[in-house]
Amino acid sequence: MNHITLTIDSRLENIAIVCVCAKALAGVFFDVDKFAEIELALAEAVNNCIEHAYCGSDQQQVIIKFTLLNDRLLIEIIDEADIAFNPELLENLSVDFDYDPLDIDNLPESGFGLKIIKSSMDGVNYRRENGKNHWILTKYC
Amino acid sequence: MQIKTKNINGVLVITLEEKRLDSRLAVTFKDNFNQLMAAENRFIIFDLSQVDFIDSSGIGCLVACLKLIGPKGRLVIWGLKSPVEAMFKLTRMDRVFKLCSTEEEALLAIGD
Repeated sequence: MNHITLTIDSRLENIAIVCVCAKALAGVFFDVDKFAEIELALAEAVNNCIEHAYCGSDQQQVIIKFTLLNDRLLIEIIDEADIAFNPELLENLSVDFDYDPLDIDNLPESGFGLKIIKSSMDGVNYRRENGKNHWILTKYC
Repeated sequence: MQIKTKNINGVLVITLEEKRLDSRLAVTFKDNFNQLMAAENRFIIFDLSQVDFIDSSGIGCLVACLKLIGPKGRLVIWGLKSPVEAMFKLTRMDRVFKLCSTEEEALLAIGD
């Protein structure tokens, strides 16, 4: 088992650094396409913490725990925002990107993040514990 | 943010000289594009051949650019690397944008 914990300031420019660390830890255990899905989900999840949970504040902290097991990578993303996520939204979330591609005026410009995370990972779980939001992303090798 | 522009027969080619089009850059990218639109450019090619990674914010800012161009203009994108192309397909944006493999192909497509 390989385990790394990162603590970053809630700044958007730190997301790329988190992705580099993920690649250094787990890149060789996944093929290129699977790791691209991990990077995408990880970036979206940390971005959600910064932009939604912390409302864009760059004065907070996000903790990212990577655990590499024999058959999977676990990524736990923790923030201390006062705002809790409603877990039912995750359970009921459809991963269909349902819009009319010809209706340019009404194309969505946001709101894809959680769908992308759910589509890209094998497991996505959320819990609120001791005033912290915990997101656990799982990807099998 | 590093971008380079050139005009080819009335078509503005915008090359994004960045590895990532993500939440860090999305707002700046839109601001830059707004300034370019002020110059009445309506036929636009985005060269994303240097971009290794795009997230939902990057996709969102491309959608915003498309809306800004409006029905009288055209937007073509070329040079998608594999992870970027996968993101377009995942979000079904490959059905929204005209995507090409080369600049030559993009120049032909924008004139169709």
